Amino acid sequence: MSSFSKMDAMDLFGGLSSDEEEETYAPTPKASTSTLMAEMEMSDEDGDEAMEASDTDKTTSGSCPDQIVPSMFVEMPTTSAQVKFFLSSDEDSMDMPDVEQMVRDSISRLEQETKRKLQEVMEATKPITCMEPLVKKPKVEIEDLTTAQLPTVPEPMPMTSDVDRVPQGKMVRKDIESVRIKSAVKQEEEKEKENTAGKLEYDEKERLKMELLLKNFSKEQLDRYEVFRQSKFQRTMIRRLMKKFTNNAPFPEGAVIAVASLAKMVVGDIVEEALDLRDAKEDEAEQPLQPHHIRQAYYKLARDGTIRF
Amino acid sequence: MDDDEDLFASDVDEDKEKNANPEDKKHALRRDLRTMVYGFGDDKEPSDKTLDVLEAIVLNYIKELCQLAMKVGKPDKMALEDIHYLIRRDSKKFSRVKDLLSMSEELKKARKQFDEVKPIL
Repeated sequence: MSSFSKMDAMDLFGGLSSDEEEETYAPTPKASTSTLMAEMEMSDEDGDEAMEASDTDKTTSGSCPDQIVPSMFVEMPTTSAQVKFFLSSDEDSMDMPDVEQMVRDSISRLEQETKRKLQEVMEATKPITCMEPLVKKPKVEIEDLTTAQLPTVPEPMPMTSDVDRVPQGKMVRKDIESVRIKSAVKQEEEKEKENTAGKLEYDEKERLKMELLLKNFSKEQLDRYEVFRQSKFQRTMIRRLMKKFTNNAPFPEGAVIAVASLAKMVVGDIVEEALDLRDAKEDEAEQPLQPHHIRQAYYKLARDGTIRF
Repeated sequence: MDDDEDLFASDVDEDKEKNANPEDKKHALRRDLRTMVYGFGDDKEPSDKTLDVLEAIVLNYIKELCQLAMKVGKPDKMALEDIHYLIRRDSKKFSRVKDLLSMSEELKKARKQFDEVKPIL
């Protein structure tokens, strides 16, 4: 019976950390939080169950001959209450709120720390914040940290205490990788921040330039600009044409928008080019555009590849 | 350049075409085209012949675009295809189309939200 339960438990908690962490689980809230975090990090799905079990079966060293099995499993055959691995067990329900509170505290602490860190350029020597439990997804972590959302609670946790202690093989590897990744991620994040700040700045500058330009427009220019902005091809007409050209094939609404905008841009390209050609000759300037201007412009653009497919 | 010659030869056949399709007499792109050309820098009253040529060019452009889009992929025409063509050649057009499509998405969302909130208000 006991061996059967042990095996079950081992299957369930194969990825659990060692006994050491469970010993320090109880004493202080802080340490227990980190242990909690560590354990939750180690085994995401079974995290709660692990908490449950380890809490109830804290430091009972059992008659278990197999040293590998964590102490928590030993209690199983003795009392039914301690066999439970589910969240729903009543005896353990008292622990849950505390856990959550501790988690929240640590998360807010984490956020503050990371914010501070982000402001200084730091070497990734001290793993005060572990940005990610999973090596694969650094990008997700960036967003989680910068937006400081609670949903990240289950996953990433500080590992200070764990690092100090002798970590297991798995954790050593994760540590090193997380450290490396953390530094890379930080650099990327800073770059992104600069970029977004730069982009916003750039947009702002462009906007101001545009404003300045518009202020200095003559009436005629303003009028023309307004017409330029507002003119467009009727979507109904474009749709009708597209239906005709595609032999009534179905297409999404976005395609109509795209084609209409492309058509307008083509017209713009041609007209601008034609105007340049017209203005190149003095005698034809200030007169309406003539077909041969358009034709010439069209040939030129086709040659240059602007209107090519 | 054969295409272009046929394109501009349509000027001559325009009368015949007009009689053939009385309902799309001026192809209703004409009015929009007139204002558009003014917006781009031509006179307030561009010459008709110019507009004819331009209209022919635009129609030809749309036609070729549609036909090429049909070739790529299945008989259906997908929006992504269009955009992907133009990536290669024209970044200006591509970014413009991208902006427009994203804006239309946002507008749709905004309208949806507005409609949801409206009954409550």
